[in-house]
Amino acid sequence: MALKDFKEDREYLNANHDKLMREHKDEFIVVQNKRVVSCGKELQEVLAEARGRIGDAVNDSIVEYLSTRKTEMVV
Amino acid sequence: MRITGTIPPEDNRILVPVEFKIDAFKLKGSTEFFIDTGSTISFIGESTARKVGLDYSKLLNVGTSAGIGGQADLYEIDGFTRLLFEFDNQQKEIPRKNFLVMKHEFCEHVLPDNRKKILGLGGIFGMDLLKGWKFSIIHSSYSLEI
Repeated sequence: MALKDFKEDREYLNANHDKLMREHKDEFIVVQNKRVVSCGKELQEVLAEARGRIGDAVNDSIVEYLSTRKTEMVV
Repeated sequence: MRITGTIPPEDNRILVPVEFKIDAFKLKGSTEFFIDTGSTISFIGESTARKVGLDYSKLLNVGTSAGIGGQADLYEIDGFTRLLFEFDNQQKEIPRKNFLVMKHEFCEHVLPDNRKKILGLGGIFGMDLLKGWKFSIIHSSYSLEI
């Protein structure tokens, strides 16, 4: 099931957050199947690149912005 | 169905993983909905909409929302959007008619870094849905009955 894989990718991201933060400072990353399939500064470009590499599997990927700035979220 | 978990101390956010299907466009995907008792509405966030290729020009603009980061346009998805939850080998589907999608219009004062953080939100579960569920927090543990 897609959701099971999605949860596993979240667990991968959380477990490797510090390493990924060092490698992708202030970038969007797309994680699918426990690997970063695209990264960059602009969301649209990162998603387009991910879709080009993994096709519709991007729909069930994790999209995360790795910010080095500490900001509290009030939405 | 009861979903339980611990609130992560590093960011104090409760994120609920959900698979969704949009009947009208035969689109499906997965994202995390942020539980926000300060939001009156629930919606799919912009990064999720763009991730699954949802075309805003095919959606009905139904108004705006106001928040601390400025305002955002709200769009309605015609027909049913199906939210699929899974926890402890249980599954539950909740169909929602005319579910909302957000598109941000940031104020000039919102820093680019903060825009990206907001853009990265997968979706929000607000009070329109939460009032029909049972949600509780005891210290750092949460429980969501849907």
